[in-house]
Amino acid sequence: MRQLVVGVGDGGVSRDPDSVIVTYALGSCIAVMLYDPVAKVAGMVHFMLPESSMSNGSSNARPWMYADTGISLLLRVALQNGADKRRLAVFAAGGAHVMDDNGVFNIGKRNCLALRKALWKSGLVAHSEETGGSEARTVRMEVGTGRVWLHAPGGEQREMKVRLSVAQRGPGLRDQ
Amino acid sequence: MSEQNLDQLLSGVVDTVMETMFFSTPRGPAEPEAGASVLKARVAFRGRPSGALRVCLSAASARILAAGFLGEDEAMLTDSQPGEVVCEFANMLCGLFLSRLESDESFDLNSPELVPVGSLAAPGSEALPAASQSFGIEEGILTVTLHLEATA
Amino acid sequence: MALNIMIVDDSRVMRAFIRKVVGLTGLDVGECCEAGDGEDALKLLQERRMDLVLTDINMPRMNGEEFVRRLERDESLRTIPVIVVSTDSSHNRVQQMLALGASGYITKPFLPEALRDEVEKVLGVPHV
Repeated sequence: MRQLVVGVGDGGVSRDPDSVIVTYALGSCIAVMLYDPVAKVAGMVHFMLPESSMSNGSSNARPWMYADTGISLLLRVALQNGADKRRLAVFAAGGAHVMDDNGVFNIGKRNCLALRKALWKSGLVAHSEETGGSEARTVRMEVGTGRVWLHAPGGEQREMKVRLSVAQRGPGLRDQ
Repeated sequence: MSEQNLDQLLSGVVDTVMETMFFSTPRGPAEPEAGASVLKARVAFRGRPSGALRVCLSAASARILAAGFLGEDEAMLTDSQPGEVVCEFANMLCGLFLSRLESDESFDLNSPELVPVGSLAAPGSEALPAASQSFGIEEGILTVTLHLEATA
Repeated sequence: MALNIMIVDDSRVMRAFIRKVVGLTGLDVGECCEAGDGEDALKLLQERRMDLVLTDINMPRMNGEEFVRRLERDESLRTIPVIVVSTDSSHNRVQQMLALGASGYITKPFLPEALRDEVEKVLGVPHV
């Protein structure tokens, strides 16, 4: 199985059924994953900060870095690769409450709000979400199946389950 | 109605409403703004007690709130949408506040209304608020005030 | 087959919010029409077949309580599932609206996914 690593402030989409998309060390950062189970398009963004307006112009160069630009870009690229927005399963993980330089548990919570705001603006809502808390997380998504696995330090790997309506799975699709 | 800390209750309600449907959060206590270009909305309610809840925030803050609520870019908002969103915001704040009062009473809410800028209450008609909180939010200050009518 | 959905609320922006949530469900939505109160909603229902109604309670002219009562009294309308979307979260009010014939109830403020789930539940949308 080929491993495609998404780094901090990065993102991408794959249609290779033999690949796994993975991102590590989600502290206050959040990973958003999209999956179309019919077209078998998988995408992930690992964003660090809530708003591109904080960027002083660098958001054009690093759109994956921010919730607002990263999520809309992820959706756009997924659709360009054949995903149907109505069929998308949406996963989100991360946003741990980590103390920032001012000694405030702030950025994780702000990222969680920015996640919801950006998804809403894109006409999406998470089907499966593991955010908040205090642990750093690692997530991996299998492109062939859309299964998402989450791992926290000291804990077992577990699957992020999602229940999609049949309308989203597409007519005539057999259960996987 | 038992003795509750109405100021604390008001703060909690603002947190919940802003995070749930406006995808935003207050940035902490602040001093009320004077003289800025503001939008004000009022929701009157009837029950025991009767009263009104008012919100006041800058026009710029109202646009951000409206954009978040509607999931739109600020540039795409119509002229009336910020005011309409502020009214709905006041409506939800009032409804949630009354539901959290430790009271067996039921309340009827009037439709929220925008208060014309610069309108003044009749002299002597404005009692001190029962609760008032101001918060820093994006592009300004949000002030939420609760007035209660004296019960007979 | 596409589903026709009606949103009844005196707040234009709340109707827009609910309309957006309906779009999250993945349902095949045909017509999504809006009314500002129960009176306008009843007029529209005489002209168009609806598969789901979402209604507020506090509205001018005809409020949600009277609107749901009227739906229940009309043989041609009583089978339409109704979800109440209201700021009133009191137990008595919820029970009252369900007893009047509402199929679901959600309190403002609500998470978009909560309303999405309620719509799917009331319509009996199967999940895998």
